[in-house]
Amino acid sequence: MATEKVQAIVIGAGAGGGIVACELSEAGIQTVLLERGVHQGFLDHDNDELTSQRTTVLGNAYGPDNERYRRVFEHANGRTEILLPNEGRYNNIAACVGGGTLSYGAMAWRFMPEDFKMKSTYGHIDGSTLEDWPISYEDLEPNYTRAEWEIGVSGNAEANPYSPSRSKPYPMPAFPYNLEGHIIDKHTRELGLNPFPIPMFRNSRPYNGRAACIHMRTCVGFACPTGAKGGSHNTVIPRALATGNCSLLTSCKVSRLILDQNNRVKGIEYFNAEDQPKTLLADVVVVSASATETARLLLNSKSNYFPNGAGNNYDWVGRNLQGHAYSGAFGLFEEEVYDDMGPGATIALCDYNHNNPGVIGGSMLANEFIRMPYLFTRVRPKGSARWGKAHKDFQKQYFKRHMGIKGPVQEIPAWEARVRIDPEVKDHWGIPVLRISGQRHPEDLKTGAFIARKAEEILHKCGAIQTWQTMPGMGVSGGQHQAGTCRMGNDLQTSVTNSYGRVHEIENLFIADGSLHVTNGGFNPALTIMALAFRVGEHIVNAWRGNGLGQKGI
Amino acid sequence: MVCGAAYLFTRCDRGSSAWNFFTKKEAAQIKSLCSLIIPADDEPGALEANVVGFIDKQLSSTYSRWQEDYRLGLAATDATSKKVFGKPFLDLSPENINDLMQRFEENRVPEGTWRHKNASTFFNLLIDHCMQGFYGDPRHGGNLNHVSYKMLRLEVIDASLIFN
Repeated sequence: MATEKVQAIVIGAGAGGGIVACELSEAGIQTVLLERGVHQGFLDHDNDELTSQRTTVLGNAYGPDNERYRRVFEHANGRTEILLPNEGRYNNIAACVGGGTLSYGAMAWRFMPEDFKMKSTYGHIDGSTLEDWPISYEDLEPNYTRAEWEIGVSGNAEANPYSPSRSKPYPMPAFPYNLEGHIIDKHTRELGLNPFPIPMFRNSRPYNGRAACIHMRTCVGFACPTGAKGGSHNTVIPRALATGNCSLLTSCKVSRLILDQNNRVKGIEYFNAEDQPKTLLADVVVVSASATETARLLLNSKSNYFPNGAGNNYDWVGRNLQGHAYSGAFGLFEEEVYDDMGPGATIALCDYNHNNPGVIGGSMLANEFIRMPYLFTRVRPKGSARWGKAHKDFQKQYFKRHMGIKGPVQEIPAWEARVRIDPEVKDHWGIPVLRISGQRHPEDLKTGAFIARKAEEILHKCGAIQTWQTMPGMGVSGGQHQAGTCRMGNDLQTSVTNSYGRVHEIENLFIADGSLHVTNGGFNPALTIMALAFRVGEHIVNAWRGNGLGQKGI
Repeated sequence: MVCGAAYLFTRCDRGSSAWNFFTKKEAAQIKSLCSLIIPADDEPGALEANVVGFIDKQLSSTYSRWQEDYRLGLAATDATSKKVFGKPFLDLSPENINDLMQRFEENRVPEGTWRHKNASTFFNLLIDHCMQGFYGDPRHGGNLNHVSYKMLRLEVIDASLIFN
């Protein structure tokens, strides 16, 4: 039987892959979109906190599952342990159609111009691989706009004085503040700060055939019951399928890229839903499997020219793993501040993101998503009772009388923070798994301390009767904001892809996910992943049509 | 009733135990501990919320990897009780049990009583599972009748009825 061949393969139906598949199929390119997970919706897990992507103690609602997946974690002292996907250090991203966008909190941030020029802005930092992006904010601006309009974002750009220049407003008006938002708005203005509504991939009014948000308490970590939360699963992927040019294959686990002697990728090997090994050939392959799994696939794909994995002749694949050094504070209040208006996070400020003397980067600060009852059992000042009547009394007293403010502190990339292939452990399909190792750069904790102090000051001003700070440890980062493992650049010796996501020296292999991020901003990264995916997709289409961009490329 | 590899540490001589994993004695021990981790006051506590049922159910499925920790931990709890108070755990007064739990939390236990894992590791696990059973969704066996949601004055939304 002849091996099947298509024009394009896209691996991973998340934020990046869904968009690229849509771009290619709408341009008439015959595309196969492979996803390791399945279609899921709200009713598959309902409002179950213990399996939500936020808590996961009884498993990851939207995958990956504990039966088939494993990773290895290497501690600072060299000791290793095998991890299940629902354990924190596994650093999972949901495995389902839509990927993380099915159940994310849906903040839709543009990075700031400085975020693309971190090295130029802050200079060399010892112990860091800090670098500028090969593209500027202005280069990506049209694609940010496309992502905002095609996925659907509610926001008010004029309310943020630090907002970078924009070619278009948001397609939908911002959401009103909840009770916490009103309190924070009043007091931060009195402090001379500039609060504004968080831009969200949620419909504030019906948009593109989907309903308006009904403010579920179970939003972040959960799928949306009405479709008001926009992700790739209910926008670009249905569009791709409607063209007739895109096939979505679910429950398919890609094991290897097939490279030929001429430094082209010929196709892929994967396991189908029945776990049968399959081969699929294509003219172009796009990997959008998340910063951890994309690196794994490249590292597991070797050839004579790439004995250490595709695109890895200079040892950059899997390096510079980043997430965010979330820092902030909690406060307790005498009056109730909880109004049960999901998702809870409504207000943010960017006063502490860049241009603060002595601080490298920083973060936006926002009020926290609703803490569900079990998650709240861990929200305690140091020294609090962990059990008994005192613990129960705290739950009763403060569930509706506490607030959290925190920010995704921008991390300074570290060479040793990385994923590589474990020499022994394999997953259900026999594919070697990732080993995660390294530590974050110490600068992150300095920035985190600054952000936590500012969050605490705000809570004090808002009238908190007790406050305490929360900070990350030195452990390697990643999580659902994972990024940086196949960074873009102009120099093939210090990066993995060019500025269009094409892997150096492999003319028809592209990446479109957080792996590309040279640095990860002081913001949730979903909108930037999407904007880059539009950029990669547009580039492939232009090259395909042969109008000059990278003709040699495909 | 299957009694084999799936329930690795489940003994086959549980007799008429209504539990999936616990022996009658273990279940009685867990009840005593949980009733102090989340005590009943003017609101229901762990026992009323069926937290013990939740833990038993999880240990025989999703949490099977912690079966050994529970089995050996509860045996060590009994051994510690005998050394510290001179009688089995199930004969202790609530004050004695409270005292014992504080010792577990701070790892102040007689030498040789906790060989498998230390006392605070087991106690932390038990506290966490107890909180999950009390505050998690009733579909997993705990939080019977949403008692904790009612305690927190959190409206119970049966979304599956609204969106089905």
